[in-house]
Amino acid sequence: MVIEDLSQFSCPMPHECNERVTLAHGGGGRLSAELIERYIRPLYARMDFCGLDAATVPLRALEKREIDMVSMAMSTDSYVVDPLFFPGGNIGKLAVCGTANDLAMVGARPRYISLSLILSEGLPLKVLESALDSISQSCKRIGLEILAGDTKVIERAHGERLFINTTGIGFVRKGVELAPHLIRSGDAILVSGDIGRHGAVIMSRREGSWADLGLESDCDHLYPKIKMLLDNRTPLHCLRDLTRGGLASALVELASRTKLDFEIENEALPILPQVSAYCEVLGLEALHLANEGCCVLFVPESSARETLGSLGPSARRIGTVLGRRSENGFVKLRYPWGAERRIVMFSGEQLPRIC
Amino acid sequence: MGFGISADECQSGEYFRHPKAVSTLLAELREGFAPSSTQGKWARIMEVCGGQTRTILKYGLEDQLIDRLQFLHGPGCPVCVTDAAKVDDAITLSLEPGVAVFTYGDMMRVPGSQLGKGPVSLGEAKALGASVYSVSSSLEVLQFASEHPDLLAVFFAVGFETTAPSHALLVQHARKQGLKNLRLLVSHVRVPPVLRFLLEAPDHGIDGLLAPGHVCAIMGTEEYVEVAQEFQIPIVITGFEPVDLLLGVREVLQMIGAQAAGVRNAYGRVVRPNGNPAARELMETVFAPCLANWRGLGSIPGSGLALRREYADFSIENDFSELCRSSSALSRSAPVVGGLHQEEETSCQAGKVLLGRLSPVDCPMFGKECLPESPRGAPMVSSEGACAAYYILNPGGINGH
Repeated sequence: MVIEDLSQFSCPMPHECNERVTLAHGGGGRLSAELIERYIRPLYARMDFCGLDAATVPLRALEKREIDMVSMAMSTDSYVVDPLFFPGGNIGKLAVCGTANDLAMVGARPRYISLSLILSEGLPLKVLESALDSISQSCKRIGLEILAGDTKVIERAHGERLFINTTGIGFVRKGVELAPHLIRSGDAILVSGDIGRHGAVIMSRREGSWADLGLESDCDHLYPKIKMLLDNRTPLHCLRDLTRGGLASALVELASRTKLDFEIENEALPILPQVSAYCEVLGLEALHLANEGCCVLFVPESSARETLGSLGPSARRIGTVLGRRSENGFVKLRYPWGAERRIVMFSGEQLPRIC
Repeated sequence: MGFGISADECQSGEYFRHPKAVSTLLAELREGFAPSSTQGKWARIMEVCGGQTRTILKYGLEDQLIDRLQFLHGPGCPVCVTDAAKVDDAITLSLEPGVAVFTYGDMMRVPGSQLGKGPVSLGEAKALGASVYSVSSSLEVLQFASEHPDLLAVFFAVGFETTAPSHALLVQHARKQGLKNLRLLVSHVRVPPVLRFLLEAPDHGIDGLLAPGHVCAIMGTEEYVEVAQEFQIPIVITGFEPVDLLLGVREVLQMIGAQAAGVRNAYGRVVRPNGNPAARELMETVFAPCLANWRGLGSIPGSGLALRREYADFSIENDFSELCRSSSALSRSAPVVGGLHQEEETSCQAGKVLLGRLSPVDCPMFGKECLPESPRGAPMVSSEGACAAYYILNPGGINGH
């Protein structure tokens, strides 16, 4: 294939604005106030907190609303993805879904979130607006409320960047416990969707590995699916959302922690053909590529079918927790012809190969 | 050969890794072939290309056939065999103001000869602020060069014959567009000379070769016929999917058993005897064979490619001859010591690994001091390097190393 026309390379970020973030926007003066008023304030459902140093929620009101909730869960994450916008999402959507998903993984209902932004000088305001719009929509989707936040501006150092930190608070209802120590021999290992998609999409948008996969990132909320499982009281043992390091990292970490061996069937791994092809061309492994809307589930054998039913058609059973406990937990990948190999944590960055 | 797989059971492309096909071939190889009586040992088969090494390890084929044959992994990883001095040159160039260096992704982490105090790899240079960019196509450099006439765009042209035609295209396009600020730092290597180098050693121990399918897709099979006749050895042109590798192994075992020398093509869907004439012509117009230094192996005559005189204006060596150690290294022809180039850190045994004389897992540094995140030698860097392939794909399952 010969690329004759190089103008087909394009970037999905909006270009047309002339207004950009300047250092003055971070100065605390009029420009700061205008930035917050125009772009940030609309995200806050409860206007009465704006301008105060902290948000408060009366415990009694909390108790009344969060009936049957016995624990509070908290999670925090920072988002520095580059490019800011990618097929299927952007840093804003990611920042909300990522943290909300972490809460969902311990069986918590995500309720409140904080939003800290670090804007680099030169960031187009339209880009900021777009990201914030996504944040707003992602929050509304699962009834998340932004209670607190912060905005800072830094000198242009790494190009036009936007960094986001979100800290989420959720509540776990009585009777729900999801944790690695609950994993048992004989448990079924499931995934909620195809693996490696977000990682492949992001990589394909970066310098040096460019390709048009015709795919969207799987960046999305997991809570709606988890809620269904919790509402149905489907017995579950442990959930882990797949992010950097992919399915391999999640499995290796959990095996190491529980000192149980996992057996995974290679043929059962759901990988989209475009992701598989991209990996083949570049010498990568889908097992090591990130997801942002997919989780691995450890459930009792008896719940496997019901869980798959609730998760939907893209969910799959990929393996089983084996009987023995070893010195270090082992993750084994089996092929139909009897070959087996061990899955290890991938160290360092994945580099596409030459030929 | 249907392997009893119906059209419905396979989507296109899936056939060559279909479990039924793989299982059938494995069973045939395990039961149908007695261990070769050559030297009283099993057949020793070398696959030349790193991509083939990866498939053999990833799909557990080595383990499945361990009672029948021994796989020797050859020097078919272009990243691994790129002369360390050329990597040094690339780093030096990248630190030069007004110069931007372009490279394929996995060259970023390859350590240079580490003799000086500066950054050890292009990746480290980039972290220190050098202008280094990774590309997936050499043609991306064209756009940069035309948009930045004030900068010198240097493309680190690495690879076997597979990538050479696209690099030739880059040069021709640049000439057509009248670009004066594009240069190549050429580090191409050719397969047939290194095969000769391997087979000239009296104790090479190789009973049969699996030739690299994609190199042959470009170059055709003629050169391999010559090698097979000269050294009286079976060579099978092989592809990259599990079924391709097993078909290649089947052919070569048959030939070993019949003591037949010559070339068979087990990758007929891609490789034709005369290869890709257009690609070859492009390559031969721009490049000519030359002496090349293989990291870990030493100098092999005629094993490299250099820009022809008519295209010498695209060679970086003219502009920066005082910075380029590699031209002077070639004229010195530093002797090979214990399989390693004399200047290299001697604890890394990459040379032996590349010749199939040492399995990565038998290296004392493997998995300890030498890891993908802190490679002591080139074969631990690229996913096609034998050491990295063993470490990441970790064959052996529960009996793993």
